Amino acid sequence: MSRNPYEDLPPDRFWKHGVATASSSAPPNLYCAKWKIEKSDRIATAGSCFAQHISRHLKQGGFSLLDVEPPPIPLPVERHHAYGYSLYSARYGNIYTSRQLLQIAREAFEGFTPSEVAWTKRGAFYDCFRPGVEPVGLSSPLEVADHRRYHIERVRDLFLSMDIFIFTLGLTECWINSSGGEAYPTVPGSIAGTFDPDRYVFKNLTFGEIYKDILRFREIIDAARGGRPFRILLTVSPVPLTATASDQHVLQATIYSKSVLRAVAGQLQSEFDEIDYYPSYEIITHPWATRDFFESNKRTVSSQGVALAMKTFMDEHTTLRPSATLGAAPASALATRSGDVPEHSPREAGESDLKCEEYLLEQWAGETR
Amino acid sequence: MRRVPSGAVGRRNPLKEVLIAGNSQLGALRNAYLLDKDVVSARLDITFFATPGGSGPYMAVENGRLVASDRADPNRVFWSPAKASERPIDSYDAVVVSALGFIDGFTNDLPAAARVRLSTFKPLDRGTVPFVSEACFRELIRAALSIQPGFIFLRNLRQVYKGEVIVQPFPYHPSGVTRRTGWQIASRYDDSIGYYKFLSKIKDSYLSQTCNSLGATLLDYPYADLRSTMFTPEDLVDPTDFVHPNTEYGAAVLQQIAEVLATGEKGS
Repeated sequence: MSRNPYEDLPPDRFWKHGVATASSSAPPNLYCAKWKIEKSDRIATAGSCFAQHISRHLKQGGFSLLDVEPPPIPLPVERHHAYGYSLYSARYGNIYTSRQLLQIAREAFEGFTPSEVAWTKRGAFYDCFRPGVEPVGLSSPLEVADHRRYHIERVRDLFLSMDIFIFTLGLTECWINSSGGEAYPTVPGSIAGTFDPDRYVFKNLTFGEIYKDILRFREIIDAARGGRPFRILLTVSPVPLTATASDQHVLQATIYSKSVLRAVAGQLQSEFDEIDYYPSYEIITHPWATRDFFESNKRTVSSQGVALAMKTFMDEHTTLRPSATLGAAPASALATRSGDVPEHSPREAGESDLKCEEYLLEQWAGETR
Repeated sequence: MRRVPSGAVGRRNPLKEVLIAGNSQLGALRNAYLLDKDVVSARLDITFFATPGGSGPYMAVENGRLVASDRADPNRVFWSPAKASERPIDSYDAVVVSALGFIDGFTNDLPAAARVRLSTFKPLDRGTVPFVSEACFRELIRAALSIQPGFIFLRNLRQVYKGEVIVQPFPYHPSGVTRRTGWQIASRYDDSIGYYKFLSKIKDSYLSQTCNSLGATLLDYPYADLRSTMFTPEDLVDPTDFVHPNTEYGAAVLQQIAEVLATGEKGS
């Protein structure tokens, strides 16, 4: 009698053993990394606000997390996030979409010049591609341009020096400039800027567009590095949309958006050896979990959820648990291009201290939804 | 040019026992005190305690007495009169912390300020020094000031000493600072004056808020026009080093202290 292809599969390939009767909240063997992240690998992080958890836990776990724009000393630790420091490997704020990621690479290596850089609010000027990194803005468009030029120089160095790029895909929906095509992290008029329907248009990125954006990003970085290899670890943020500008219910829009992002990540993971996927999205959102991993607003991931997701990640890449290495990150883990290390290790912000522009959108929208 | 210090005192008050603690800037006050027996000494009996260091003084109150902290060079700790070192701090009517708020040492910058650039003042260096916003810079400098030995001492003093605490702000740079070679700020900013004034405003604001929160009396700058120009006229500065104020400036500060102790006003 011929055996069927399922007979010799391990237990985690079956729903009954992999999920239904699994004793822990994170199904066993859910994450089997294609390649291990070594402590010596120079890691760059970017993405939507959930990616901040990854940055923090990597740092705490003693991995070599790059930070090319470290906070100036002695700016108080509790003020770092307000100015966009210590969130990611550079001060780019949240990069929610693949289009934002692609355009910063183009700006760094292809001389791409955005059609506008500064947005205004109450007489102050903000970098429209990272409006959340200056809480009260800057004094002039010229100052915004100076800051951005420096930032892009640092981003260039980051992309050239990294070994692994961890990117959390957050959204498919974005607002783009109708003439230049640039994607913004926030809708104009929320943190700064003025919404003009003739100037800014809504865009819901498709599977094909996101797929191409990421491959194009990889191509640009590859070319700049002269073929020196780097790996990409993709994740999908489990955080639902705050609001949708599509004509769908926000739940439908969220599932659609996350499904597209998840599908792109899966496609890239299956096609390229150097691209892997970490299933934080599945760990947090799968409805068969023994616990609800969202706060009462059904949007913010609970600290237990974050802890579980990050434990699963860290267990795969190290024998050390995050809790065992809390605060033990060596100063060298915060390397900069010049080799400088900060004189003090920043105390990490709590789980609730994520810098999330999307949250601001909710405040802006008030009770209308 | 002789200036009339604001808040000059003419009336008689009971003799007050005052301890003035500070760094090398205190020298101007002590020289003025030794020279000016008629105007101030009749109302103030002053003890001086100094340890060099712009961001100082490196001092602490231990067991009820003022001592040099571990960071002070033990060979450069000065009491005047010498026997006062054993005197309990509670025996003074007032303690004055001299020259608080170091922000620029002419040839050596405040490190926190030197490690960043402000685009608004036309920075000259084009290297990898990061830009920060003015808002961030303010927070940065305030944080740097808060951990200076002088401010640490002030907080320590306020916790253990119940008498009057008076703070003298660090003098502004001489007005001719831009003509001198070696001013670090001028090598970093095309608009060095604008930058220095911005830095000075942060210092003044931090001093004011800190003194308010600690219940200390902050003296104004001793001449009315200084706060608007934000430079000390050169005839009030020691011509030999261009860093320390001269005896005339010191006398004006002593008059302010006497005024505060006589009337409770800041002498401005």
